[in-house]
Amino acid sequence: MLDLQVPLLAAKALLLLLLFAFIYAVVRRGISDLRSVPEDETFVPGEGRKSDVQRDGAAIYNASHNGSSKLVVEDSDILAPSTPFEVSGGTTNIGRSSSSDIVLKNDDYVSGNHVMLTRHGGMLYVEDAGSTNGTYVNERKAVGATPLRSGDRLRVGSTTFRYSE
Amino acid sequence: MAQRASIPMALALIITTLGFATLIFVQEAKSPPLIYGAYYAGTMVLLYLGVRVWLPHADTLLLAIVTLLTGIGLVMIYRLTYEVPGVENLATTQAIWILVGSGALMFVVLFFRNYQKLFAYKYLLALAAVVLVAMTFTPLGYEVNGARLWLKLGPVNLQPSEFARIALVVFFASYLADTRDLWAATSRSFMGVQLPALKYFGPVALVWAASLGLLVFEKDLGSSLLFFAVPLLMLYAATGRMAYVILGTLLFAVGSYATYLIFPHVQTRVSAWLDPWSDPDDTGFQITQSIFNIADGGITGAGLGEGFSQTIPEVQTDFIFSTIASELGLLGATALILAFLIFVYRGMKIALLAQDDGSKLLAFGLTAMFALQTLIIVGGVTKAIPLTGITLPFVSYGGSSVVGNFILTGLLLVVSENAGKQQPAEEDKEAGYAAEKVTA
Repeated sequence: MLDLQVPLLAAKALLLLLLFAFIYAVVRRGISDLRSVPEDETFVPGEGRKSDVQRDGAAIYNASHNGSSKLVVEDSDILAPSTPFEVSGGTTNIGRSSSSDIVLKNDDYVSGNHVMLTRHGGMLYVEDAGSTNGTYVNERKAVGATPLRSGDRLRVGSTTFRYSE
Repeated sequence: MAQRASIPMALALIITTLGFATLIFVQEAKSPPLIYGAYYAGTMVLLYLGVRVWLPHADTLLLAIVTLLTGIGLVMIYRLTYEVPGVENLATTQAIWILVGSGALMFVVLFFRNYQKLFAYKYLLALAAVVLVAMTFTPLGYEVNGARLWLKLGPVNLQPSEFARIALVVFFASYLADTRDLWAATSRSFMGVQLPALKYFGPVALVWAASLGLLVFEKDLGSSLLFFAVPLLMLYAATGRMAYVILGTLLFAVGSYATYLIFPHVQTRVSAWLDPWSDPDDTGFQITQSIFNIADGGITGAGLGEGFSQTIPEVQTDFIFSTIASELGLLGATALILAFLIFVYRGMKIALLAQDDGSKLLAFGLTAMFALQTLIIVGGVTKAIPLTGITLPFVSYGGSSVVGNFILTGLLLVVSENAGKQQPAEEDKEAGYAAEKVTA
C-alpha cells in the first residue's frame, strides 16, 4: 500500500502546483490592464447622457471661474517633465512645425500640424489634424472631437501631457 | 483587449493530462480510448488558434479558462464513472459534447461577428426562448427526477432552458439598450418607486413572466432563479436605479414564499437545507454526503481517485464541486473558484470596454448569468443556500449545459473583439509601442 501512496502524493502535489501556476499565469495576464483603465471610461450604471450634461455643466462653471487651463508635460523624449503650457481660448495647435502654438521639435513621431485643441462652450476638444501616428487621450486614439477633462492624459508622439483646469 | 494566453492554455492541457495519468497509472483505472484525449486537446488548441486568427483583438484568456474547466470536468467525470457499470463512457460522451460546443463557439465566431444584427431580431429571439421552454410540455418533453426539463429530439436529449436563457439575455440587452433612458427617467411613481410607462415595461414583464412561469411549472428551480435574477441585474446595470433591485427582491421574496407553499418539492429542498440531519438517509442524503466529502478533502485533498464521493447521487452533474473539494482539497477547490472569478472579471472587463449600450449589457448579462450559475450551485452543494439543481458551468457533465456555455463564451469573444478593435492602443501599448509608430 505504501509504495502506492508516494506516486499519488507526488501527483497530487504536482497537480495543485500546476493549478496555481495556471491561476498565476491567468491572473498576471488578466489584471495587467487594471492600471491603464482611464477613470471615466468605467460604465457607471445609470450614468447616461443625463450625468454627462451635469458634468459638462460643471466644466462650464469651472471654466468661467478660472480661465487658466494648462497642459503639463508628464513624460517626454524631447521636453523637460512638468513643463507647463497655457491653453487659452480659441484654437491651440500642437505640431512639429515652428508655427504651432505648442512646438514639439525633433520628435519624428509628430506631424507638422498634429493636433488642434478647440475651446467650445467651456469644454476643450481635441481634434487630430490628420497626423500620421494619431493622438491619444488616456491612451485611446482620439477619433473626431474628443472632449478633454481635467486630469486627462493627452499623448502626441512621445510626449504625454496632463490636462488641468 | 487582445490577450495572448498560450502559457495558460498549455498549463490547462498539462493539468488535464496529469489528472488522467494519475488515474490511469496510480489508480490503475482502465484507460479511456486515448483518441478522445487527442480529440479534446486538438479541439481546444485549434479553437485557441482559430480565435487568435479570426478575432485578433478578442480576449483569448477566456479560452484558457474554458480549457482548464472542461479539462478538470473531464478528469472528474472519468474518475467518478470509469468503474460504474452502465455509465463507463460518460467521459467520452462529455468529450464529444465539448467537441460540439467548440463547433458552436466557432460558428458564433465566424457567423456572428456582427452580433449587433442579432439585436434586430430581439422579439423573435424572446419568442424562440419561450417556445423552446414551452416545448417540454409537449409530448416531446419528458421528466427526469420530477423535473420536466428535457426534450427528446431523435437521438439527442436537450435541456432547452440552457439555450433559451442565452436568447433571453440577448433580448434583454437589446431591449434595455433601446429604452434605458425611458427606464431611468420617468414621472410616475408607486410607493416612492418610480415606474416606467406600461408601454415600455410591458414586453420585459411579459417575457420575464412567461419564461419564469414555465420554469416554475417545470420545477426547474435553479434555472428559475437565473431567469429571475439576470434580467433584474441587467435592469440595474442599464438604469442604475436601486429601486428596481429592491422591488425585484421583494417580488422574489413573495414569489419564493408562494412557491414554497404551493410545491412540496420546494419544501423538501428548504428543509433539507435548514436541517439535513433530521432525515439524513433520504431528503438530506445528498447534502450530508456532499458535506462529508468536502470535509474529508481537508486542505490538500484525498488525492485523485481516493475520495468516496460516488456516494452522492447525481455527483457527476450537480455535485461535481464536492468531488473536486474532496479529492483536490481546499486548495484545488479555491483554484477552481479563482478560475471562475477570473472568467467573470474578464467578462465584466469586456462589458466595460464595449462601445455601445447593447454590447455592454450583452456582455454584462452573459457574465452575470455565468457568475450566478456558479454561485447557485457552489452555494447549494456547500449548504450555504438551498440546493437547486443546476450545472457547474463547463465542469459538470451535461451536453446542453456545455454547448450553451460554449455559445456564451463565443458571444463574449465577439463582443471583446469588437471592443478591442476600437482601441488598439489600450493593452498592446507596451509591447507594440515602438512597432506601431511610423516616422511622420
